[in-house]
Amino acid sequence: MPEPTKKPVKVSQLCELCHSRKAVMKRPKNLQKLCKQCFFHVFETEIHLTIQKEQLFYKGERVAIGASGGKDSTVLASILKTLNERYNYGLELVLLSIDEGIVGYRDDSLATVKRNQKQYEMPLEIVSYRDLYNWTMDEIVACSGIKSSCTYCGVLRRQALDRGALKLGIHHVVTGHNADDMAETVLMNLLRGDTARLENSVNVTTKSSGSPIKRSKPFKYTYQKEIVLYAHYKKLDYFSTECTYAPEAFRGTARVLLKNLESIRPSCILDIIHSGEHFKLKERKKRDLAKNRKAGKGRNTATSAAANSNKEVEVRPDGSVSLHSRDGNRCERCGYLSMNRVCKACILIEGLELSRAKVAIEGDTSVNGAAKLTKTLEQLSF
Amino acid sequence: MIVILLKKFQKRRHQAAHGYMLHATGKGGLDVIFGGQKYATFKFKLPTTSTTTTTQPTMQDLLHLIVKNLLVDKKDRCMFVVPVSGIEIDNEAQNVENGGVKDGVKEDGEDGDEEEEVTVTPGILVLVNDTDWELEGELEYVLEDGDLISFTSTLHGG
Repeated sequence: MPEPTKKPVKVSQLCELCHSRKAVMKRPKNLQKLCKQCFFHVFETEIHLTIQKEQLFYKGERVAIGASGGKDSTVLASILKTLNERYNYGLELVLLSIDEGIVGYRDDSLATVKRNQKQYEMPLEIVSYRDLYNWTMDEIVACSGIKSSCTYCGVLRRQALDRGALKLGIHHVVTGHNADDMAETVLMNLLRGDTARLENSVNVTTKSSGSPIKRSKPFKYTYQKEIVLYAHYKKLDYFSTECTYAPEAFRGTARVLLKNLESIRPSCILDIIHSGEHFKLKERKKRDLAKNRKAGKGRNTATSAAANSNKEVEVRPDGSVSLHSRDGNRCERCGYLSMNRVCKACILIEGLELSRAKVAIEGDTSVNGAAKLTKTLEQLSF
Repeated sequence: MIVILLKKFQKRRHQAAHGYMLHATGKGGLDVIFGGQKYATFKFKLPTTSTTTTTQPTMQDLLHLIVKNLLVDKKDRCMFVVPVSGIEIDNEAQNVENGGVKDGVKEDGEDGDEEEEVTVTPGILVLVNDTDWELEGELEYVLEDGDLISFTSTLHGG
């Protein structure tokens, strides 16, 4: 890139921190004008403070960075490496990527992750949908249409990240979700009336009890704009193409709304997160919970569910039934942590297998319960 | 990300008629915006809007030019064009052929005579010589020889 030409700098253009260099950016958070060096310092320090305040890591912890090759995860990898060395966190960082199998998108972005692996000298693990579920996103979209692609992809990726981490023997995954993403999620949950999610969606660390994997978002308070600027000024190698499949329509609309709000009042992103953090839901009426707990104590949830079947149970809008032993319940088929008897991924995959049977004419032996089989094999150990 | 480098050029025969050479580079995802070309050079005389007092072309003029001439796919217009009155403008109606240098800019965003304003959609980061355009006066920024202007989307690609 050619060097920009130098112009005389006015006093009003100077950085508000060091008062000596020309300001290059305005922080959306407080409208402070900063120069490159001060911006780097402030940006890195703020993330360090978030990490410290929330006590995200302990010394010697092995942490997997969910890396997509996009700007957020590339900046995350870069900054964790920097901070790890600067503040001596003593972390062992590993890059963990998910290959959804989207030709023309994920293959290109994975090439970026592979370059990052060399640049940051971290081990890289790639987990593919193909290996885990015997489906690629391309096949799923061909089968079920482009509209529901995000539903499938989202459910499957969540599991895939956990499985990838477990494979590496890591119990902590950090993701590059930033303040804009968090605000978007709060807004979406609010608009959908999804109060159950609303309360937990803004937590820095999410961990369902019973799950061995902890997830955290060190960029929770970091503006997307600053991440992009950081990546740009540090000349980080990242990939920025939209997924080939239609973006989630509802999220897209919420994002546009949020961006428009941000242009009028930049602090609104942090304000929404702040509001999200302080929502406290009134406790719901619990129906016969004590009774069900007793019955649900048995290890085999299937039999306890059968025992409970004559009692009153909550039926959710999508037809699923809540088992009262919510935490630590496992999917009957794949053994993955699930609120219901069969986890969402297995339900989706099962639905897909039915339509694949119609599409594939050849005697494909993998059709019946392929996902289950791979998952069972994966769990075998000596 | 689109990077545009401005270079002044002078036609030797007609001394007065000078304009800017635009070296446009598409990186990451936004390269598709010029119809898949990663690098493209355009030679344009930048017209000035009637409201601006200076005769120097401003950022606003550059955006008009990009919208009118550089965008191959008309649906990419939404990246730069924001309807003022909230009414969607039929893009076909004001379709302008590629490469037209003579076309003066008819729309006038600042006055709001037209129903749409040519600016950049929130979520697209504009850098003028690596400086956030918010610090450079946004649409009023007066273009100079050798300016490096980049448009980066912050919207996608986590």
